[in-house]
Amino acid sequence: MLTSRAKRILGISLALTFFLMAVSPMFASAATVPGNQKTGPYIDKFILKNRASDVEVLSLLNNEVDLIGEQVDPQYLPSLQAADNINIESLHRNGYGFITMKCDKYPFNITSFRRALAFAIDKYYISDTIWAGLSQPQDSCVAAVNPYSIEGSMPYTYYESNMPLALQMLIDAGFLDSNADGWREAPNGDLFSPQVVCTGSDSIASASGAYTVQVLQSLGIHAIYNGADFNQFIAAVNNHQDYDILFHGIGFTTFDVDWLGYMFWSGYVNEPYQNEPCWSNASYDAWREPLLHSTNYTEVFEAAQEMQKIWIYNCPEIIFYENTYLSAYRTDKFEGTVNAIQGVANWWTNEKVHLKASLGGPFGGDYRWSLPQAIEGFNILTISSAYSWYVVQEFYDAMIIVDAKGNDVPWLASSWTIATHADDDAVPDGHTRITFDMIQNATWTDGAPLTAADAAFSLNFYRDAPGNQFGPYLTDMTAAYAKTPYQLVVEFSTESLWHLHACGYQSILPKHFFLEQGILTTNYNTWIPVPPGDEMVTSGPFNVSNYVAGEFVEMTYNPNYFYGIQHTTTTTTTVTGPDLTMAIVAGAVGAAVVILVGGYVLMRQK
Amino acid sequence: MGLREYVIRRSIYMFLLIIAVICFNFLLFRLPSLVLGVSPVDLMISDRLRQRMSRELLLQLYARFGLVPNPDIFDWIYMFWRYLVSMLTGNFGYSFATQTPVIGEIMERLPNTLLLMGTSSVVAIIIGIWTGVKVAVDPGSRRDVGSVTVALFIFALPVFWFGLMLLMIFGFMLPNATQALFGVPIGFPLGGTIEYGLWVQAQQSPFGAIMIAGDILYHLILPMIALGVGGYGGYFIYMRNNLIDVMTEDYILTARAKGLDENQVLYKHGMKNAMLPMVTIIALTFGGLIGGAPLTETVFNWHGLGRYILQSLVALDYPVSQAAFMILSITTILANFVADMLYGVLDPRIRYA
Repeated sequence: MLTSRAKRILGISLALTFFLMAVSPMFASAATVPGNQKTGPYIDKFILKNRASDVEVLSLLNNEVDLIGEQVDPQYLPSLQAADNINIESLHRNGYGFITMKCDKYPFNITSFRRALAFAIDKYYISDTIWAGLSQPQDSCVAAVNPYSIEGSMPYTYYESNMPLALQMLIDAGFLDSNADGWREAPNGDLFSPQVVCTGSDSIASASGAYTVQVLQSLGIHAIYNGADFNQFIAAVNNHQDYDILFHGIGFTTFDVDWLGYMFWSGYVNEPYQNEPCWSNASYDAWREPLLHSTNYTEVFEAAQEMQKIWIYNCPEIIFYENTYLSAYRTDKFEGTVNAIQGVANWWTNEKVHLKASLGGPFGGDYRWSLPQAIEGFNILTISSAYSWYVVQEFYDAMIIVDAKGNDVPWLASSWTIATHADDDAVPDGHTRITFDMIQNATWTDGAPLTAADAAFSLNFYRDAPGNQFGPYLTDMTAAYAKTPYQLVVEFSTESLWHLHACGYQSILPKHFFLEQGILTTNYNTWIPVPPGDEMVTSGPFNVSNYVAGEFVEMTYNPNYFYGIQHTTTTTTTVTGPDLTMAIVAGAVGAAVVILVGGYVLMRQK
Repeated sequence: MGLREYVIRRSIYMFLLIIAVICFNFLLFRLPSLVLGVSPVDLMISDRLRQRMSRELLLQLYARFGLVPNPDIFDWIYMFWRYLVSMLTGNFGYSFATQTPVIGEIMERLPNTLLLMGTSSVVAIIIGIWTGVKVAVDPGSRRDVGSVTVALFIFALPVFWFGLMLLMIFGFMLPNATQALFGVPIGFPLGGTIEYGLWVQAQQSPFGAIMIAGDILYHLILPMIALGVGGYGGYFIYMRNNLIDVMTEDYILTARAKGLDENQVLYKHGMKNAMLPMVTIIALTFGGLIGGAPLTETVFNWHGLGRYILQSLVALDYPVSQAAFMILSITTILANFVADMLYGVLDPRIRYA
C-alpha cells in the first residue's frame, strides 16, 4: 500500500501532467509545412460522400464531412456562422446573371431601347435586395475577377437607375404612347409587349425577371413576366427560338476570353448555342482577328478591352450582377484550404490542406467532401458534371495548370516556346508551333514513365475522338508529336495566343494503357471502368481505392506523385470488400423477420 | 367460362396492354422534345463546351447518343421502330448520362429499392390494418375520431418534409443532445445506405457482411419510418371503412346470436371479410414497389430506383426513364393479374366469367 505522502506526490504529479497536457497547445508553434507551391498532397485520403443537397449543411455541422462540395445556399449562413469550428469563405464568382435580348428582332434591334433599359435598371437594388448583399453590380460580359475585364474603368456605368435619361432615350428613339393607352408603341407604331422569360422554379431568376418587368413597365413598356419551364427556356436559348428577353446565368472555369470572338460574333448569329442575342456589330467583329489570331499579348489584351467597350455600349445583354460564391468547411482538424476561382471545393484544396500540428500534422488524415449528386463514372472523355470532374481531375495532369488566382503554373511542362513564321522560318506561314519541355520524373501508377509520347497521343486523341468535350479546343491543331522523349511539339494551322492554353490545359492520358485496353477514338465511350476493381492507370495525386456507387468515392494519395512528398504516417491496405448484394439481402431478411414477427404479435393482441 | 379460359383471356389483354404501354412510353418521355424542341444534348452541354460549340461538334454529340437534330416525321418513325425492336428484344440501351447499360444500372439499384419499399409497405400495411381494426369496433367514438384525424393529418404531410424533419430530429438534434449530455452521440445517420467508415472496417473483418447488413438496417430505419408511417393512413381508412361496413352485415349478427366471443366475431368473421378488398390494394402496392419513392430516396440519399428515375426525367435520359417505366408497368399489370387470381382463392363465391 502507498503511504499518504506517496499518494500526495502521485496525485500532484497526475494533476500537473493533466495541466501540462491541457496548456501544451498554447506553447506549440504552428506546423511547418514542407515543400513549395507545387508540393502536395499532404492528406492520405480524399473522400467524397454523397449527401442530399438539403442535408449537406447538417452533415458539416455533425462533423460527417469537412467541406461542402458545392456553393452553400445563403439561407444556411446564420446556422453556419453560429456553429463552432466552421469557417465560411466567399469570393466573387467568375460568372454572372444577365438578361439577353433578341437583337435581330424588332424593336430589340434598336440600341437605344436596350441602353434605356440598362440605364433604368438599378443594379444596386438587385445586389442588395434580391441577392441580400451577396453580389455586386457589373456591366462587362467579362467577370470583374478576370484580369481581362474592363469593369470599373469605363467613363460611365449602368449601376444606378437613371430613369430620366432612360425615358429621354426612349422618346428620342421614337418609343411614344401615340394611342394614349398608357403604354409606349414601337417607333413604327406597332404595339409591343415584350415577354421576360426566366426559370420560374429558381428564386433569384424569377425575382430578377419580375424586377425587369417592373422596370420596363416603369418606362411605359407593356412587359409581361413568363416564369417558364426549364426545358422550354433552355431550348429557346440554345436554338435561337423566338423570344424577347431572357434571364439566366453563366460561369467560366478559366480567365481566357477567346470566347469573345465566338459568343457575340456576327458570323455565329444563326449558330446553335452561340451568339444568344443574335447580335451583329461590325466594329465589334473588327477586333475579332487580333483577339483570336495575334500572338502578341498586348494586342490580344487591347482587342479584348475594345470588344468589351463596344459590347457594354450596345448592351446586347445586360449583366445584372456578379454574385458571391460561398464555401463552408470545418476547421477543427485541417488547415490550408485554398479559396480558388471555383470556391474552396477545388483541386488546390486537396493539394494543400493538411492536418493541424496539434493532431500530428501536416501529413495524414482523411479529408471528406459532401457531394449532392452521385458521379457519372470515371471515364474522363464522357463525364460532363462538375461533380464527376472533382474525381477525374485527380487522375491526370496537364502541361500547364491554373493556380488559385487563375495564373498559369507549369506542371508537366518545365518550359515552353511559342513560335510563328516570323520567329522561325521552319514554321509554316500562318501557323503556330508550341514546343514543351517536360519534366522527367513523372510516372504512371504502373511505373511507366510519363513522356511526350503520352502527351502527343492525348492531344491527337482529343482532336480525333468525335463528340468528346476537349476536341473543340483542338480543331486547328495540325500535329502533335514527341520530338524527344521529353519534348512535345504541337502545331496549329493558325496563329493565336490561345493555342497555348488549348493544348496546355488538356489532361494527359496513358498511351500504353489505352492501347492495351483497346480504347480508340471510335469506341472511347464504351470504356466504363469501375475502380478499384478495374485498373485505372493514372498519374495524378490521388487514385480511387474504394467506391460504392451512390454512396462514396475514396481516393488514396499517390506516394510516387512527381510533386508529392512522402507521408511519414501511412498505412494503406487493400482488401476485397464484402458482397454488398448479399449484405442487402441479409438486411432485407432481418428486416422482414422483425416486421413480420412484430406485426404478428400486434395482430394477435386482443 | 372456367379458370383456364379466364386466364387465357386475361393473358391476351395483358399482352395488348403491355404493347400499348410500350407505345405510350415512347411518346411520353419525348414530349419535351416534341412540344418544346428541347433535346437531351441541350442539358449535357457545359458552359465551357458552349463557349466553343460548333455545328460539327453538335452533330457529333447527337450521333454519339444516337439522336437526330430537328427530327422530321420519317426520323420519328425510324426512331419509334428502333425503339420498338429494342424494347421487344429486351435491349434497354445505354444511359445518356453514364454511358452504361440501363439494365445494369437498374439492377444495381433494385435491391435497395425493394428493401426500402418492401419494408416500408409492410410497416404501412400492418399499422394501417391494425389501427383500422382497433377503431372500427367502435365507430364514432373519441378514439375513432382521434385516430382518423391523426391518420389523415400524417397522410396529408408531404413525405419529403416529414423525412427532412426525421433527419433533423433523429439525425442531427438527437445525436448532438446525447453528445452534450452523455458524451456519446446516439441517433440515426443523415441518409445514405451504408457508412463509409464502417464499410472500411468491414473490409478487414471476417464478419464484414454482417456488419454491413446491420449498417444497412440502421440506415433503413428513418426512410422506412418516413414512408411507412407517412403512408399508413390510406390502408387505415380503407380497412376501417371496410370493417365498419362488414360489421353491419347479417352474418355478423348471426355470429353474435350464436353467442360467439366478440373477438371471434371481429377477427374470424369481420376482419376476414373486410380483408378481401384490401388484397387488390396490397397487390398493387407490391406491384408498384419497383418504382421506388423518388422524393424519399432523394431526401435520404437512398441509392434506389425512384431517385434514378427522377434524375433521368430531369435530364431527359430517355433510355433510363422508358426502361424503368416499362418494367414498372409490367410489374403493375402482373400484380393486378395476381390480385384477380387471388380473389377467387380468398372468396369461393367468386366465379370467373
